[in-house]
Amino acid sequence: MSALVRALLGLPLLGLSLQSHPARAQAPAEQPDAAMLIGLSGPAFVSLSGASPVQVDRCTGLPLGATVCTGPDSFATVRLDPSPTSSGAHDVVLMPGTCLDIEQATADRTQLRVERGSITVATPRPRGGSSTARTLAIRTRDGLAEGKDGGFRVAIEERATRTEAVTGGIRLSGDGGSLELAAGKGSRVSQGEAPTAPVDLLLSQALLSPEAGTALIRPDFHWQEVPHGTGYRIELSADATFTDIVEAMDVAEPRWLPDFLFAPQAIEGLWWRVAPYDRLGFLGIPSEARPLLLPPGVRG
Amino acid sequence: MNLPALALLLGAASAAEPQLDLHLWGALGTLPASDGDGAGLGGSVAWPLHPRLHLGVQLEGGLSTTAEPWLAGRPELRLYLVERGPSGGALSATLGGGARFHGALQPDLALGSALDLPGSGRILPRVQARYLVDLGGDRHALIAGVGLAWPRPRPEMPAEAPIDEPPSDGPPGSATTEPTAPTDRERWLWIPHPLRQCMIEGQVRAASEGGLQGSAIPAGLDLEALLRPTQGSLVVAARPGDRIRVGGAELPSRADGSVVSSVAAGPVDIEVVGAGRQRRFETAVAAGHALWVRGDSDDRPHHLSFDLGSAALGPAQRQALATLAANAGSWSFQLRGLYSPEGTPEANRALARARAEAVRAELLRLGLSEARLILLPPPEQADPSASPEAQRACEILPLPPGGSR
Repeated sequence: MSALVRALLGLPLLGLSLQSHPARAQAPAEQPDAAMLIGLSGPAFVSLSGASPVQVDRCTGLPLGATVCTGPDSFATVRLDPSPTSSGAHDVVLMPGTCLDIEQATADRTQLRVERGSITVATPRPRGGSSTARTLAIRTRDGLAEGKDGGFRVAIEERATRTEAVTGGIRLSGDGGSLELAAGKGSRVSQGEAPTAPVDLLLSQALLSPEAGTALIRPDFHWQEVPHGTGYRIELSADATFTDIVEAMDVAEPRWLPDFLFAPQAIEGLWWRVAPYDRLGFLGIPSEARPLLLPPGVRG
Repeated sequence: MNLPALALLLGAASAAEPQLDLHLWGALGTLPASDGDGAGLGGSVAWPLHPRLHLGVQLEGGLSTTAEPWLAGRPELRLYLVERGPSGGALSATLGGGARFHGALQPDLALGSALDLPGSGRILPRVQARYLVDLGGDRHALIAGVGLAWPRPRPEMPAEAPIDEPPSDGPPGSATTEPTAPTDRERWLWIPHPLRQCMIEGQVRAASEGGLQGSAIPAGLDLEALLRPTQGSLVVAARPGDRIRVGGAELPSRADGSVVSSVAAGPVDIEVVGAGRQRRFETAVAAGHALWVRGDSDDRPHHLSFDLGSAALGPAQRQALATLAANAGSWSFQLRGLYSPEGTPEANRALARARAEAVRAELLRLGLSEARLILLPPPEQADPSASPEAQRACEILPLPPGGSR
């Protein structure tokens, strides 16, 4: 509900330094944008080096050096290298309370730094007939995660960085060493240490209701319990690839019955999926995404 | 302050878009008092290391109280404790260390603070104070200054392209390509379903007016409604038999008890009545967004208390039944009289039936139909686990239309 109220009122979330109106982060004329904000739910803010953050809207170009931050209830998606000639652009989803720096971009490598919060790197979608993806490196206070295939998550925790290779393998490095993290594995890395031994991520069980393809009238979500699961994250997105997330919630039981739900109406539908947490706090492999229709009369 | 130093400051400022400050200062107090700092001119130039932390160089000069000239220069760190808001106001603290020439060169340390007052444009009034210590001696001074600051500009808003501006890049029909890096003159728009991509506003407008052959954008697209929606949608999920009022007006429910409606963006007052109770939701709907609200009625049984040995309705019971009837919606009610263990079983069951009949008669009088009021037989015996007071009652169980509990 707080996300709804903030979205309605456009309240500044980061203090006195914000403008409350959308703006485009402008780079010097000779510097092409390295990324673009293509997904947004709730307020997000962009600052260039030395400037105060400004609240931005979708389709804001992001030059090198830009820092993107989501509000405490916001989701944003940054598409790296949005130029039409690029191939296999990565989409990076910022969860609430996340700050991401666009540090470097060369012909074959992009480096981001996650200052706080958590991100999900979606699997790159080939464009222009080519599927050669660039290496995406995610740097944090604790280490570095590098991969070409996307499909991984990076979350900053109090004393470590948690990394989950969901569908794509990555190389994970810390000051004390590095390892190859295969898809389906998770690991943590702390400052000055090597990554922990990989653990198997939990698999999701079947989604129960609502059924696929039905109109969403009553927001009651049920799924099968996952053995050894300690909790679940349910995500709702306006697209099947979950790069336009409108809500994500951590719950203890295999159901979610929100009193309020908020989503754009100019969308094809909503997709939902669930991933389990294990006893170590790793978020597992999400379920298949299940599509839902907007009720007749809702679509704008 | 001498002219070469000032020229150096201005030159550096123009080269790297730093923050610039010029001020007049005067000493508020000096120890020893015989060697006062007097007054003079000063300035600084600084570059951001971080949005809140700037590194610069400060130069100051003036005449002491004994009319002797002096000059000081020092690197300085400025930390913005409160950043500039939209009107420009900011509070910062400074730490500098350098040297002061006053007959002889003397290392010094400066601690200060500055308040940038809100202003218009890029020039802001600045009030500042600094505490100076000569590190080689025991000289202390407190000085204050007033002047102007030229903070680094905030990111500018993009210049919006005129509505009738032709597409600024790409040939006609290229509107469906992936987005390119925006330039200052292009305004990019998010085009939602079915395109779901960022596009240049000029191209979208041309396509929606039929000017871009082969575009994926349908001609006649209501761009204004797309960009500036005024309506939102509301989905209230209630139960069959509930009645839903939005903004005071009752809306027709679907068979499943829900209401789907377009509403003007803004605050909205939702009222759901059913099962003899009322629920209210004060919320808001955003333009271009849908809001789902779980508005199910509370179908727990109602409990109407009676006095010992009595089936008479008092004012409190009548008021409770009036509230129940007003919030009945299309629900039915099962009525079951109860009794406490005192007395004979036959008398108690008769008393329980009388209590249920009294409730039924009152609800009929309040407008509920006979078909919606179902008398249940009293229990065979009092409940030993419940208190006697709680059992001197009539239990009213809400029943949704066509359904069962």
